[in-house]
Amino acid sequence: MKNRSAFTVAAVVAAAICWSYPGRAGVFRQGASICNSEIAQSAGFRMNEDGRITNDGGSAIHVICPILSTTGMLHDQLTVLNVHGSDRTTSQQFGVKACTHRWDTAGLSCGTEWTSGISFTGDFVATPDRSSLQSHPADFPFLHVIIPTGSLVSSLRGFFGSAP
Amino acid sequence: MALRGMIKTPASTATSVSFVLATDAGTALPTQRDPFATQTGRGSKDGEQTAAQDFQRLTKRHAEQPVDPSWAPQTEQELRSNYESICRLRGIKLISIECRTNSCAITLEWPSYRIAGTNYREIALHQPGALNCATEIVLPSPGKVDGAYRSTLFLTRCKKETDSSPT
Repeated sequence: MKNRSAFTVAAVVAAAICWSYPGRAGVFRQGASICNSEIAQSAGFRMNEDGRITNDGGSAIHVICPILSTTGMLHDQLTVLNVHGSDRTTSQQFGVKACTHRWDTAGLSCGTEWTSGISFTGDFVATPDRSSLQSHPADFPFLHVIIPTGSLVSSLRGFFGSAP
Repeated sequence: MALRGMIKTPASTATSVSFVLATDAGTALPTQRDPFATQTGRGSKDGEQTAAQDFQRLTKRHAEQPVDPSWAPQTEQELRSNYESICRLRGIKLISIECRTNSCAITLEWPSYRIAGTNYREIALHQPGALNCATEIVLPSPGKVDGAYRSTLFLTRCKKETDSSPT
C-alpha cells in the first residue's frame, strides 16, 4: 500500500513536470505586416497584400517591428531570432538590429547591426545580435530594419523566434 | 494560470511546481530589474530612479575603459563628421564625443526634455558610417521640465564594418 502511494505521488510529480516544461518552450512566426515605418523616413514604404514590406522609394526606409514577449517566449530567453527578406540591390544593403524600448522612460538599447552585405543579392536570413534583448528583460523588444532601395524592389517578409 | 491549479494537488506535486516557478524566475533575471515590473503597479517614481541609476551605470562603465590612442581620436573625428549633420537637421547640439577602447559616449543637448523624447530615436538608431556598434540611450526625467536637456548616447562593442555577404 505504501509502495503504491509512493508510486502514485512519483507519477503525479513526473506528469506535472512533463506537462509543465513543454509549455515553457515555444516558437513564433510573424509576417512583416505587423511592422510600421519610421514616420520621418517612410517615403517608399509599401505594405503588400501578401504581408511583405517593400521599398518603392528613392532612398532606404526604416521599419520597426514589435517582437512578441510572453510566457514561454520571453524575449530575453530567445535562442533563435531569424529575419527573412530579399535583397535585390547591389549598391546598398539590408540592416537589422534587435532592440528594446525602455519600459519606464524614454530610451532604447540595440545590439550591433546585421547587414546583408552591399555586394549580396538574393534571399537572406538575418540573425541579429540579441544581446540587447537578453540584457533588458523588462523592456519592450522590437526589430529595426533598414530596407534598401534600387531598380529592383527589395522586401522584408517576416521573422521567426524560438525559446527553449 | 495552469500552475495555480496545480498547487491544489498533493504537497509533493506542489513542491515540484515551486521548482518550475523558481527556475523561471531565476532565468528571467539576468539584470537586477524585475522582468514583470510593468505588471506590478509600480509608480513612475520608482521607474525614474531606475532610469537615473542605469544612466549612471552606463557612464561608469564607459569611464572605466582605458583610452586606446590608436583608435579613439580617429573614431571621434569620424563620429563627429557623421553626427554633426544629423544633429543639425534636428535642432540638437552635439556637445562632446569621447571614445575609449571600443566604446564612445556622445553627449547631446536638446532644447527641452519634451523635444528629446520625440526625436532621440532617430539619433539612437542612426548607423554611423562604417562603424558598427551596440547602442544605448536613457533619458531620465529632469528635475525641471523647462530648459535645455542633456543626455548621452553610448556606443559599445564598436567594430569597423566591411562588405561581407551573409553567412
